[in-house]
Amino acid sequence: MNNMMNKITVGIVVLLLTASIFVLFVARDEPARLPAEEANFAGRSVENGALIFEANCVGCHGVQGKGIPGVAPSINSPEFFTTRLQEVGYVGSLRSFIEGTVNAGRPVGSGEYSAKMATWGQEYGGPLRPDQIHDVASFILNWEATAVAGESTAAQPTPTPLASDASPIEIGTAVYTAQGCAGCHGEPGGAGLVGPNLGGIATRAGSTVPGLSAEEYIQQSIVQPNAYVVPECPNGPCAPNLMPATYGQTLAPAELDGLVQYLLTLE
Amino acid sequence: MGVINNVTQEIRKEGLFQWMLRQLDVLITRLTTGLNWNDLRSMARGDEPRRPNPRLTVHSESFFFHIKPSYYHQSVTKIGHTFRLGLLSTYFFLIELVTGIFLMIYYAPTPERAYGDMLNIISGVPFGQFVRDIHRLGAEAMVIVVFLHMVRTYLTGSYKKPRQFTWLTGVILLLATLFLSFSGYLLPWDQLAYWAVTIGGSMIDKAPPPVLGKTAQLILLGAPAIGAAGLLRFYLLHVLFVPLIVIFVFFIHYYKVVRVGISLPSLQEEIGQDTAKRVPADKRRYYLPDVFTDEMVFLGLITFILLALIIFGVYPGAPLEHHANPNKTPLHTEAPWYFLWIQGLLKLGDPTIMGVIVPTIVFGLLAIIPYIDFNPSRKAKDRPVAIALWMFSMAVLVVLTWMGTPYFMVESPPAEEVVQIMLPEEKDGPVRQTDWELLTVGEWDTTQDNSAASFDVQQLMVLFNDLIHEEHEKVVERHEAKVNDLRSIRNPTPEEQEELAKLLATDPGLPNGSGKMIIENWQEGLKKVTMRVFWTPEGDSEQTFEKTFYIHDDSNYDGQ
Repeated sequence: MNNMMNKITVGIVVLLLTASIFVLFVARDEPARLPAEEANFAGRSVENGALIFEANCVGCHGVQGKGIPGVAPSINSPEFFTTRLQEVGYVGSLRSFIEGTVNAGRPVGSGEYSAKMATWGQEYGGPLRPDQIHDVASFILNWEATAVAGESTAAQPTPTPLASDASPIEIGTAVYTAQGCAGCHGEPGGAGLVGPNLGGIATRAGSTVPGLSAEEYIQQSIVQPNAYVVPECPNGPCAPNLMPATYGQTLAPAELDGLVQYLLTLE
Repeated sequence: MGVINNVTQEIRKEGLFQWMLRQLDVLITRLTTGLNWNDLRSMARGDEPRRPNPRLTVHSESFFFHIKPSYYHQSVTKIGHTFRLGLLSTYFFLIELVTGIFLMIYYAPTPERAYGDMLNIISGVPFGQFVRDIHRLGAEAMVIVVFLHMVRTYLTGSYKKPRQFTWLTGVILLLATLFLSFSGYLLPWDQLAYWAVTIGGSMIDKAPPPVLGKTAQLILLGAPAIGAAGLLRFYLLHVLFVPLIVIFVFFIHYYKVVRVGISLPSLQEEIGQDTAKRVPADKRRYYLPDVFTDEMVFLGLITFILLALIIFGVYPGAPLEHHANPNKTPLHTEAPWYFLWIQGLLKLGDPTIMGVIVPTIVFGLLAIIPYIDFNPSRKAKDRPVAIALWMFSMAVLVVLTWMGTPYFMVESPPAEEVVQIMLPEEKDGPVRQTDWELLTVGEWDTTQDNSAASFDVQQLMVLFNDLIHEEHEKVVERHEAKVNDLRSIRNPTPEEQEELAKLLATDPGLPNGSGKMIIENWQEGLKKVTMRVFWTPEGDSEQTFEKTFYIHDDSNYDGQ
C-alpha cells in the first residue's frame, strides 16, 4: 500500500498536465489560428464563387465580368466598385447590393441593358443556395483591387489556350461560350432567352435573306445585326438594336470565321 | 443567543485557531460524506482504515459512490482482466456530453445556418476547432472502446448466466453508440455528411415490406430526401433522444454489473459457478482508495493520450468538406469507417437483403448470444466453437470493411481518377500542397519540356504523367483479368460470348495518354487551374477529360 502515495501523485500530475498545460498549448496558438482560418474560408469562398460564376454568369457578364454591350453591365470596372451604389441610390454595402441583385435578379431590363436578369436565389425560385450567393459575391468583390487600380495584369488572364491545331469549329465553339452568346440565344438546340435559339441555323440561314448564302447571312448577322432582324423572338417580335453591333470590331478574323463555321454545323 | 454563547464558550475553551480547524474538518467530513481530514490522509498514506470503517460510509451516503460497489474481488481489478473498457465508454460519453454542449452553443440545425455555424466554430470561436476535435475523436474512440468492451466480454464468456441481460443491454448501448456517432455525422451539413447520410437513409428506405421502409424513412428524414426536416430530426436524435436512451439503458446495464459483480477470471472458478459476489475477506480490494485511485490514474492517462493525439496533430482533425450539395455527388462516397462493412455488403447484392436484413440478423444474433449459448464453461479451452466463430466473424468484418472502401469494385473512369488524385474535390492533394506563388502561369504538357515552369510544377507534371500510366495499367490489368475469366468458361452463353467480343474490341484505360495543366492568373490571389487528360484508343479519335479548379492564395485544405 505504500506506493499509493506515488500513484496518487502520478495520477494528479498527469491530470494536471492534460487539463492545463496541453490546453495552454492550444490557447497560445488560438490568436494566430483564428484569423488564418478566417482567411482560409474567405479564400475558399472566392474559389467556390469562381466556379459558380463560370457555370452561371459568364454568359451575360463575360468570362472576366467585363460585361457584354447591350446584354449585361461590367461588374469588373472601377465604376462598379466606386460610384455604382451612389448612382442607384443604394445605402447598403456593395456585398449586400450584389447578393440582393443575384438573389432577386433584375426583373425589368433598363435602358442600355435590355436583357433581364433571372432570379438566381433559391428564395426567389432560382437554383442557387444562400451560401452559393455569398460565394459568388465574394468572387465578384475580389475584383475590387485590380479594377479600381486599373491594373490589367490580373484582370486579363491568359485565355484558356486551345490545342495549337484547333480547327475553326473548335475556335468557334469556344467563342460562342466566351462571348456569352448563350446568354441571349441559349445553348444551341435548347430555347432562346432573349434572341432566337440558333439550333438549326445552318438549315434556315441560306433561305432567310434572298441573295445571301448561309455563310454570308450568318456573318452579316453577327457583324451587322440590324441589317436583317428576324420577326420572332422568345418574348415576342424581335426588336432592332437588341444585339450588340460591335462584334465586327471585337472579334479577331479567325474568331469570327470560326464562329461562322461553328454555327454552320448547327443543322 | 444560546447558539452564539455555545460557540463563544467553545472558542474560549479551544482557542480560535483550533476551533476553526475543527470546523474545517466538519466541513470536509460533510463534503466527503464521512471522511475527515485524518481519514483522507490515512487513505493517501495507504494505512488500514480505522474501525468502524469510515470509507464504507461514503458508499452508503454519497450518490456518486453508492452506485459503485464498496469492494471488488482483487482478481477483477487487475487491468488485464477488463481493461476498464466499461468505465472508459462511460468516460467518453461524458466527454461527448460536455464538448457537445459547448458546440451546441454555436450551432443551429438548419440548412441555411449549419455550415456557416461550422465555419464560425472553426474560425471565430476560441478553442472551437479544439473542442470539435475532441468531440469527433472522442466519438470515434467511443465506438472502438464499446466494441472492444464487447469483444472482451465475449472472449471471457462473461455474458453467461447470470449476466445475459447485462449483455443484451450492452448490445443496445452499442447500437446507440453507433447511431449517436452516425447522427452526429450529418450535423456539419457538408458534402461528407450529406452523402454518408444519404447512403444510410436510402438503406432504411429498403427495409421490407416497402410500406414499412418508406414510412420509417419518412419518420426519420421528414421528407423523401434529406433536407431541413431531416437535419432537425437528426439533431434532436443526436443531442436529446439517443443520449437519453443511453443514460437510461446505461443505468440498467451498470446496475446489473454491480448487482451480480464483475465475473472472475474463468480459471478461478469451477465450471457453471459464479463466485463474483462471494468475495472472501482476504481477497477484497476496497474501492476507496485503491480502485478509485486506479480509475483516476487510468482516466488521466487516457485524457492525456486523447489530447496529445489532437494537439500534436496525430489526429488530423475533424474534417469539414464543402457545403452539402445535393446536385453534386462526390466521386467516391464513403460511409463512416464503422459502417464500411455494411457498404461492403451492399456491393454484394440486393440492398434490401444486404443493407437491411443481414445487418438486422447480425445485431439480432449478437443480442441473443447469451440465450443460445448453452455451454456452461467460460474457459477458452472448453469453447472452441465460440472462439472459432469469433475469429471467423472478425475476419469477415475486416474483409467486408475493406470491401466497403473505394478500393473494391469501384471503377471510376481512369482520367477522372487521375485528376481526383492530383486535385481532389476535398482535401488538399499535390497541386494544392504546392506553394501558390510557385504555380507558374502557363500551359504545361506532360509530353513537352516544362523547364520554364517552377521546379514544383515540373515535379507535378512528372507525377501527373506517372499517375496517367499507373491508372492506365490498373485498368488494363482489370480488363485482362475479365477477358481471361470469360475465356476460361468452357461453354459460354451467347451473352458471355457477346461480352467477350465487346471487351476484346475495346482498347481500355488511357492508351497514349498525356496530360496538360494550364495555370492562369484569374484574379488577385486567385489562379485558375485546368487539368486535361488526353488519350487515344486504337482506331478511335483522341479523347479528353477536363476539369477546372480555382485556387486561392489563402485557402488551405491541409488536415481537412
